Amino acid sequence: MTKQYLVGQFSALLGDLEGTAADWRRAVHRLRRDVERSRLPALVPLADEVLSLCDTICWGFLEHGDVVGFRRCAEAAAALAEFIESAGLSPR
Amino acid sequence: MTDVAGKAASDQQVAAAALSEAQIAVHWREEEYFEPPPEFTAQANANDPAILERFGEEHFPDCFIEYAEMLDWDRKWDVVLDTSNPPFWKWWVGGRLNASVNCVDRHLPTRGSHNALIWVPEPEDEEIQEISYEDLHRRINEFAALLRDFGKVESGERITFHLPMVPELPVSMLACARLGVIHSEVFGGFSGTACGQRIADSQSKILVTMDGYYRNGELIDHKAKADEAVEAARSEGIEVEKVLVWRRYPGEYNSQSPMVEGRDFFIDELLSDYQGANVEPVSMPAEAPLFLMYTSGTTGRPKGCQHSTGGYLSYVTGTSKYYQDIHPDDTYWCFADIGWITGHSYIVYGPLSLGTTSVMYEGVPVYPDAGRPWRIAEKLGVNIFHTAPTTIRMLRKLGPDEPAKYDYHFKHMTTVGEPIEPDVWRWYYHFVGKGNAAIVDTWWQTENGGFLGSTLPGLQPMKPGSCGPGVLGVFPVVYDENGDEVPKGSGKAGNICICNPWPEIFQTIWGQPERFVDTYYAKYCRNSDSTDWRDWPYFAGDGAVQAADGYFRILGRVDDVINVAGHRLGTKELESAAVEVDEVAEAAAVPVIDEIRGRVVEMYVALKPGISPSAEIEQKVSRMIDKDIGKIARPKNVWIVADMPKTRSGKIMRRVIASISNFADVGDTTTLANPEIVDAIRQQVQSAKAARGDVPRELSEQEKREIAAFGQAE
Repeated sequence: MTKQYLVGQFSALLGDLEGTAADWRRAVHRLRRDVERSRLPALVPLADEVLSLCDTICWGFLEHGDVVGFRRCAEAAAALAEFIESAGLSPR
Repeated sequence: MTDVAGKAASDQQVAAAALSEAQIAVHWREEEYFEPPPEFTAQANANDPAILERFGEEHFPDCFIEYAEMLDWDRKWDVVLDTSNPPFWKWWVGGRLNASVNCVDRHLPTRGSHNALIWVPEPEDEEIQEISYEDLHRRINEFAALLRDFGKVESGERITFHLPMVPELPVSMLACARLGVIHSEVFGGFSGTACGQRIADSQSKILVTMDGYYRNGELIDHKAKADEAVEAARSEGIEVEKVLVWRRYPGEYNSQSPMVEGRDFFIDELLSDYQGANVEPVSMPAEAPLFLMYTSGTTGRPKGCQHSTGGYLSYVTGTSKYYQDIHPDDTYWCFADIGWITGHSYIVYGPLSLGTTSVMYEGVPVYPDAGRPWRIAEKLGVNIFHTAPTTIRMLRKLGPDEPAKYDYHFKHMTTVGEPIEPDVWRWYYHFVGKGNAAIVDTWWQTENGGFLGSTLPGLQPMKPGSCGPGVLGVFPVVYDENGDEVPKGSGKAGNICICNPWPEIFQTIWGQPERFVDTYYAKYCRNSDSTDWRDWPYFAGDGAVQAADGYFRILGRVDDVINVAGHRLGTKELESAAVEVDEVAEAAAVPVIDEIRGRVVEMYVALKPGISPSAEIEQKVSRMIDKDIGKIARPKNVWIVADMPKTRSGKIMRRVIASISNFADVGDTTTLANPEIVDAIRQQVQSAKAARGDVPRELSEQEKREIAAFGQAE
């Protein structure tokens, strides 16, 4: 199928997360690069990693008391989670 | 039975198992048919069944002349299909044409003042742009003059675009087509690095980009990616000479990235030198490449699918006419991105070739809310709609009742890009289409350029979850891993292939002809010395099952299976059936060792908040699985649990519950988010089984490994 757009949407959403990720930008950038290069079946385990990283970043902002950073990151993470579910990439 | 006979029988069983392993057993409930509305059929471009005979196998390849005749040619072809160098098929050999002329110029006399494009910006309070064929012609000519005279590009050279969904994108594409320059659009949401890799592979010396665009309410800095792209291309030995920058608001620069003197130029400033320019369209051979479209999925060299001019344009025009049912006076909205093949074929080239009005939307589907798409449809009078299942699922989740609030009327809808579940299809049909639209569920790929599997909307009934038969003139077949045909109606799946060439099939992978042959033809080629196209079926790479009625159902990802008495049941199907029960929030299917049947299914379900467990719910789950998949899949037990053991990322740890069901060691539970649930489930399930005398024997080492590995198919 022309599922290439799933790769693109995933990358674009990771780009949004990257913009909010502060100290974790490199980790997000690495995952984004992996998504852009991956075969479609590999998007599922990558989605798992992405959600885990979102969790880590959000907790990190909270531990630093950065409410603004947390909110921005949480919004980007929510959009990613929504997309992952709608695209059928939810971790099993 | 003697040892020898026993071994022979065992060998036969192994061989039989090997053969059956080559065919993936799928148990799908056959869905009901939905007939197209009579009023749709009455006006459809393809409503005479005689078309099916015209495109029958005995008329191949000349049947496609009907598509080619929809175009204006500078010179007609001498040969319809040249198969002398398989699998590098050549269509319309000897023919010459220009894609820009076919999409714009030829409509000027009769439809010059009609809208070619309607562009909807993401901010809802920003003015919508209506671009007539005359406007589009002017803009294309001016930009083509700029590319030719300032950019110094010539026919056959490549230009890379990294543009979002703005009207400047089709303008840029058609300007290139006018000059015979090969364009390569990189999806706007991709990183600069991804863009740079494609620049390098295509050896583009010019990058066309934009300063910024709206995404989810924010004006995104896009030009910054151009600098990354140039750097990435440089690291691969390609120096970008010019970066041409469209501005979202001419005169305003919305990027933090400084313009590089001598390299970066604002297009709106340069265009002042080309106002009113008219560029003579270059008459291109039908086989000249029109564009490259790169696919992801490789850590090595990117894969650029090279599409022809005549073959591609004839096919997207024909399929837009018959499968999208586009008439010139329609308002057609493909809710996709031009950065993908769907947008190239069915936002730009196909619809414009037919002289219709094509809608483009800049932003995200649910901005500022889930009603946005339907407000756009209502405002513009959209009557043909086209989008992807992921978008449909998102709209259904966030605004299931939104479509009903708006007064729009779709006569036709398309779903594209992935298999669509029947219940999502039904929402699309009843709520988005309001029960009045013909739906085409299309199957195809970047490599194909246009639809390969679909129903003819005015003639063939729809079946939720099935794309339908092969399209006119295209003959799919399902092969198993051994190359044997999987009979239709057998209920077994295999690899879907296309027996014959079609005009739009991509010509090659840019610069990598061996990879093209290896990837798409080597697997099922019968004779590499043969010039008979029948010996070169095209391997699409998707799994599929063909029903008795000839309709194909394209399979999703490879999944865990549970082998029950030789029947391979996909866990995704089992779980999908279980969650159809209203009370069920989530489900997990696991195998249990069984002395008679080898393995049986046990189903674990967690209920929605506020609902109490009951035997009635257990029975509902069993009955639903029975109904959807069949008696063979009926679970031995349905366990209603308070929660599932999960990782911190929400992944259900199926091996843990499989271990509980099999009285095996659950293994490492330290990574679970809720380790306390393991003991609770173990107590619940194992005590209930013990009370019934249903305690299995000690597992063998192999069985223990199988259970421990369950749920890790990916």
